[in-house]
This record gives sequence, C-alpha cells and structure tokens, in this order.
Amino acid sequence: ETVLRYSNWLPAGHSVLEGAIKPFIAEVAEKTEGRVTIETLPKVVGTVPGQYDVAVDGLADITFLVLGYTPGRFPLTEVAELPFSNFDPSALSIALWRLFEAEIEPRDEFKGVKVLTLAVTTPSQIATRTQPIESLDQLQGLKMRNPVASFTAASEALGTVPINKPVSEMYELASSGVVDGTFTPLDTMKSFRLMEVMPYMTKVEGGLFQPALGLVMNRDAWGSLSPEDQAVVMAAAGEKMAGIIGAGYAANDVAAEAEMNALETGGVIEASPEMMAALRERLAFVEKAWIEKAEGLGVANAAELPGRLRDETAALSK
Amino acid sequence: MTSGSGGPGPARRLWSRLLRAVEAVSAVSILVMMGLMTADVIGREGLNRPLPGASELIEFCLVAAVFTGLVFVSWRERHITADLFDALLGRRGRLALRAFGCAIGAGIFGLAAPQMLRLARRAADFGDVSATFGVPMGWPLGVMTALCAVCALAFVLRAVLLAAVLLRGEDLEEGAE
Amino acid sequence: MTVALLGFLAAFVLIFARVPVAVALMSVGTAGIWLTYGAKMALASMALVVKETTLAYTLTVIPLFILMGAAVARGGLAEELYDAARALVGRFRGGLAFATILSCGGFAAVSGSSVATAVTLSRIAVPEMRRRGYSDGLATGAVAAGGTLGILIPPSVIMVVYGITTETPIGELFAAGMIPGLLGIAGYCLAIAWIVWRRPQSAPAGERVAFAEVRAALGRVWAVLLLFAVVIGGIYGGLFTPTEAAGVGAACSLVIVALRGDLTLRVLWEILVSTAEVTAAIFAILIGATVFAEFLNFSGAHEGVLAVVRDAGLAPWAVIAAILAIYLVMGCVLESLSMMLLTVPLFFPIVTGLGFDPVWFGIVVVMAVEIGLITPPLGMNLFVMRTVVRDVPLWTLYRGVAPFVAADVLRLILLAAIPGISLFLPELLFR
Ligand code: NA
Ligand code: NA
Repeated sequence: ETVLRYSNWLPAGHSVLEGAIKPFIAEVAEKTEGRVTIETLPKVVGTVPGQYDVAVDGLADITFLVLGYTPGRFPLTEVAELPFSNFDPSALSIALWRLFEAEIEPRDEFKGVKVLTLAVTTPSQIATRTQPIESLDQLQGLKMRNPVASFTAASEALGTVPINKPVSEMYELASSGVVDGTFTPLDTMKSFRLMEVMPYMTKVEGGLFQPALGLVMNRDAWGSLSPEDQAVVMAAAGEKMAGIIGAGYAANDVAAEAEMNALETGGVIEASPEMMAALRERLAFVEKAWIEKAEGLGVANAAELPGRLRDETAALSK
Repeated sequence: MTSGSGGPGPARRLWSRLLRAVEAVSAVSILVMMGLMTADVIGREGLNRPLPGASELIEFCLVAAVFTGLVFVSWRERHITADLFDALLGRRGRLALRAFGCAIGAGIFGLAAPQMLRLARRAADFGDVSATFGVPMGWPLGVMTALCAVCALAFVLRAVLLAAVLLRGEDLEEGAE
Repeated sequence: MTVALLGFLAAFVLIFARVPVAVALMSVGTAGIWLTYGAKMALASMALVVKETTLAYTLTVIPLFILMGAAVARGGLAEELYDAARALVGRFRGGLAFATILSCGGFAAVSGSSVATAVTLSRIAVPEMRRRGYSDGLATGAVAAGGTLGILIPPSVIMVVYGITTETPIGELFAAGMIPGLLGIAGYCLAIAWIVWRRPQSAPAGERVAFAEVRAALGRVWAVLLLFAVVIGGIYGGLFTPTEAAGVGAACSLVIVALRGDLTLRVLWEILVSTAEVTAAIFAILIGATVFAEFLNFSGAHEGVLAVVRDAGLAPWAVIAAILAIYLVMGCVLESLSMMLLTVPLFFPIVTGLGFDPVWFGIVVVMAVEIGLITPPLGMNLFVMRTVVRDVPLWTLYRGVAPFVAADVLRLILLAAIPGISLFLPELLFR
C-alpha cells in the first residue's frame, strides 16, 4: 500500500481543488482498491512558487504548479500561454495535454517529476478602474499590473506601463490607484474582489495570455507504483483532468461576468474588430519569439506547433 | 580576537578583513534597496516610467543584505537570544551556554550549506533564470551557499573562541573581534 | 500531535539554554522532520525554506522600515518628540511618564518595531525620570509599555509579516491598527494616573511650562509629522504600496537627518550597519520559524488542534477567547515574531473558517503578541530596560509594568469583543 502526500495551496472551494483534484484523489483510491491513497497535507509544503522543487525533492509527492513561477524551466510548454488561442479553456487544456505527450514529454522538460496533467486558466482580459477600454489608444500610458514578468514585453508593445507587483497586492494597488488596471482573467475579478475596484473589463477574443498549470508527481514516487496502478493514475489525470480544470475556470468566468454586468457602474464589453486587428498586429511578435526559442532548443517543427494547438482546440470545442 | 582562536596572525587578519567586506556589502545592499524602491516610485508617479526590473534587483539586494548580515550577526552573537537565567548562571555557565549555542548554529548552517549548493546546481541544470533580466539563478543561489558556509565558519570560530576563554578563565570583552 | 508537542518542548529547552531563538527553531524543526521522515526530506525542506524566505520582494519592507526607524532614532527626532510631549503634559503629577507614552506613540508612527521604540525612548526618558525622583518601576514600566505601541500604530513590521503570511492586505491592517493604537495611549495614560493616585510618592508634582515654550517645542516636531504624513498619506493617497512606503519613508528620513546637518558618512554607516544587523537577526527568526512550521505541517498538529476545537464544541467567541488565552500564556515565554509565525498558520484557518474578519484577527493577534513583549519572565521590552538600567532589580521591573499589562488586557478584551473598533478605518478607506 502506498500513501502519497499532496501539498495543497488552493483555497477550500477553489474549482481546481473541488472539481478536479479531490475527485482525482477519490478515483485513484477506488480504482486501485486502496493500494494507492493520496493524503492532502494541512498546509502547503514550502511556498507556492517553490512547488516544483518540493516535488523534485519529494517533500511532497504530488504538487500543483503555476509554470510561470519558475521562469526558464519549461520553455516549450509556454506554447500554452500564447495570445489569441484561448476560446475554450477546456478544449485548449486537452489539446495542450495531447501536444505535450506527443512533442514535449519525450524531451524531458519536467526533470525529476512525472507530469500528471497540464491545463490553462481562462484568458487574461483588460480590466480598468475608471473607464472602459474601447480602442488601443485608450490604453496608451496606462499603468497596468503585469500578470507575469514574461508578459512585460507584450504589455509595453500595447503602449502600457507594466507594473510588476505580486498578486497579493493587486487589490490594494487598484483600490488606492497605484495602477490603472490589470490584465487578468474574469474569474479573479470575483475571487480577489477586484470588480469592486476595477469595474470595467474589455474582453479580447481568444485572450492576451493564460498561465499554464500542471499537476506533477515526484519521479521516485511514480516509479514505486506498479504499472497497473500507474495506468489507473493516468486514466484519472491526463486528458480527463485537463478538461475538467479548464471547464471549471470557464464556469467561474461565466459567473463573474454575470456579476460584473450587474454592477451599477462598469461591466464587460467585447473588443471591436478594429481593436482586435490592432492587438493582433502589436502582439504578433510574441508567437514568433516563442518559435525562435523553441527552434533554438532543437525543436525542428516548432513553427507548426502553435497552429496545431489552435486547430486541435478548435476541433475539440465544436 | 582575544587570542588563539583565529589561528596565526595572517588568518586572523584575513578573517577580520572578510568581516569588514561582508559588513560593507550588507550596508550598501540596504542603501541600494532603498534607492531602487524610491526611484521606482518616483519614476512611476512622476514620469509614468517605473524602473524596469526594480523588484528583481531589490530581491537580489535583500538576499545579499540578509546573508552577509547573518555572518556578522552570528560572529558577534547578535542573534535574538533569551538570556533569562543569566543572573543564576554565573560567568562560566554563561560562557559555556554561549559556546553551546554557537556550536548548534555552526551545525545547522553547516548542514544548510551543501543543501543550498544542491539547489544552486539544480537551478543551473534546469536553466532557471530570473524573470526580468534572465539572470541564471545558479548565481544568486551560489552566493547564498557561500555565505551559509561562511556563517557556519563564523559560528565555529565564535564557539572555539568562547571555549578557549572559558578554559583559560579569562574575561571576554563585549563584541571582541 | 505528540511529535509536535515534543518539538515545542525541545525548542523551549534550547531557547532557555541560551541557544539563539532562530537557531533553536531551525534545528528542532529540521531534527523533527529528520526523525519522522528521514534526513533527505529534512535537509531538502530546510534548504528550500532558506531560499524561499529571502528571495521574496514583499519582505524588503522589513529592512526598510527598520532603516527608517534607525535613521529617525539617530537623527535626534525622538528627543524633540519627548521635549514637545513634556512641554504639553509636564505640568501634571507624573507628567514625564505621560510624556513618555505620548512620545512613544509619536515615535511609533515612524518606526515599525517595538524594541526600537523602547530602546530609543528608554535612553532619553528613563534617566530623566529617575533624576527627577520618579520611582524606578514607573519609569521603566512606562517606557517598556509605550514601546509596544511601535507595532500597533502603523507602520509595523509584525503586521507586515502577518499580512504576508496570511495574504491579508497590509494597507488595511495598518489602517486597522490606528484606533487601537490611540486606545493604547489612552489606556497607558489611565494606568499612570492610577499609579500616581494610589502612590503619589512614585512621581513628583509637575512643573508649569510657559506657553511660548510649549509652542516652540511643538514647532520642532515637524519632521516626525512630515514623515508620518509621507508614509501613511502616500499609502492611502494611492502613491505607493505599503512595501514601497518603507523605501520612500527610509529615504525621506535620511534626507531629513541630512537637512538638519546630522548626517555624516560615519553616521550613515552606523545607521546602515545597525539596520543590517537587526534585519539579519529578524530574517534568521523568519527562517527558523518557517522551518519549524514545516515540521508542524508534517506532524499533523493542525489536524490535532482542529479536532480539539471541533470535539470541544466551542462557540466561536469561546474559540477566540481560548486562542487569546494561549497567546497570553505563550507570550510569557516566547519572542513576539516567532510566536506569531508559529501560531498564525495554525489559528488563521480556524478563525477565518468560523467567519471572523482576517484584518480584525490580525489586530487582535498583534495586540496579544504585544502584551507578550512586556509580560515576565520573557518580555523583549523588559530585556531592553535591563540593558539600559542595569541597577534596577528584575522584580521592580515586573511590578512596574503590571498596571500597564492590566490596561493592555482590558484593551485586548475590548478589541476582541467589538471588531468595529479595528475595522472602522479599513471600512472607511478600502471597502
Ligand atoms: Na509603528
Ligand atoms: Na513575554
């Protein structure tokens, strides 16, 4: 009998914890007939940014990662974070998992761990404090909190002033007016109470950015499972869990959007076709930069991968 | 240093020179941290131009300040300590306990240093870079490793010094170097 | 659970054996994980803590608030505060004690640390009071107690640490500390009035001060007022975050000291080195307590405590009362920062799970921790008094501080019972 320890930092009630991880834990226990059980530690082991190291060192056997917290470690998987590709987070998550299994896993990008699943959140949109953004001009010179440091170049290309501050300070930054807005998915408008201080949101078709997430397991712990149990674990995780995580975020977005549209001032609007064209032009370099980086790492077919990811997503989300 | 513990003259001079360097790095890091933060705020509020990468540089300064600080705080026994029973102990008892505390400190930092080295090596292997400037993270972690080791050394030297004073029955003046 | 209790016991033994608190917590935490999960886990987890605790942007607020306090202390601003307060209330019996409390409150508004407040004011106020015939107990008690205002009146390093570990907005915590801090000043003044009324011989009668002198003294406290306005006004006016406020405040305080002609290179150097020293000592404790907290996490202590709370079937207010009682007891033997770091991860989920406000809980915790600073046998501020006045017996110190502890306990009960006192300003400014 194997007891695996899962280091949890997701708050109780979070859609990933309740909708994906807890059912995964239950399924593994049931389908292995109790041979493998997963115990949730009461408090996160280490810090949230340190979760990858925690899994590699086996301080916990299973951890949940935000890949962007360790820049440089997962350059190829960053393909998931490219702009204008997130029309359906559930489909994108599944497509990402398939691409990962085919192209990235053989290259051992996640050293020291077995990747159980990968997923993305809903896409980042434009949230502002004082007025809705209807054209790119209105963004010029605005101080915008940066979702991740790697988004700095994109933020500058849009003409905004990127402010790099931790997410924990976001509410205060906006309420006191240090920043004019932020690039953020809809659901954090609700979970971080941001709509109180940034009531305006402009939705960008396919989004500007989405952080990639992963559930990983210490490789020694993985190796200690029988092939039969490994198969059970992957059946419960992998593609199935990717879809659930993405769908959970999408559902949060729907709820948050309804709540924002019910605000007395503020609400959600869609970017106009003109604004979309301008955004696409300004941010074209992001995908090019990823392709160059991937080619530099020896991925010969890098140029076709973003397109493949988008096509697969489109096919899945019909 | 009172006597004996630092080894022969050159070693003792080297140690005190090292301490002075470490102190200087610590002080300057704190001043730079303050300057960066102020420049970032003024740039952002006054010119709509925050200092690029300020938060990353500030983090590196913090690491430098703390780890260099640990070295001379350990050497000078300026860690927060409960000297509750001092009055009951008498001079020899106090010295013995101080030496004991330093020995434990040496042990724990001695254990930490190789582990930090492991993290530094891993960061280099896995290609970790800092978010803004792309600094390979093996470097700052390597600096932490080295300073952990020096901190352990500081504890060792202090423990030896205290033990020597205890055995010889001399008195140790405060903050002796 | 048993493992965790043994861990606490071992940590106490080492701490009382004069092992530095940071080293004791770090060794016991590592040894605890070692014994339950093996060496590899123990060492890897310790190293990860060392790395993650220092590579953290938000924590820069700690050295920078310390730097600000050090510059202010070195720049003679505290003396002026004290002179002004003395001119204001010196005419009453026990006037110098009242002045001590007021100037502690003023100094607290520009210093993030309780010990720094106590150290600075003790050098000014205690010798003066003893010279004028104040009893040793009153003189030292007033400074030790007044010093605790340093962590309740913003800025406050302890609040910052609470905010970071629990992801509670620091700006709201600062705002929430304001009224309880003023209540603290009022409470301490009442304590002094009571002492003077019961034992008039403990303080001489006051002296009249000419009005012109009062005005002149008040006119000199501009620097402190300016600094407080920059830091707090900047935070609430949307110019910068609390973290940045520390940097800007430190820079401003250095500029003020320089403008007054007191900033030589040598002085700057001393300020920086003393800041570095305090910073390293605090981060050592942060690291040690975090390693210890990792050990508690692995030991299942959280579940144990939760189970006790659940099985006891306590009402929510009784849970809070129990937690506060635990703090008051622990405060007798633990240092404030480590006490908070060790207990908050344990209590915070329980308390917020019961529906209590995290900002209010933060204030109550800081208050409880603050009492620990002046309760015997182990109270940091009492130790500070010992280093300044070596000839005063410990027993006199304990007796002198007792009325202030009583005032504090009453204030703690008041704040715990009426959350509105703490939450009024944050509601007004943020919600
Ligand atoms: Na303060
Ligand atoms: Na105490």
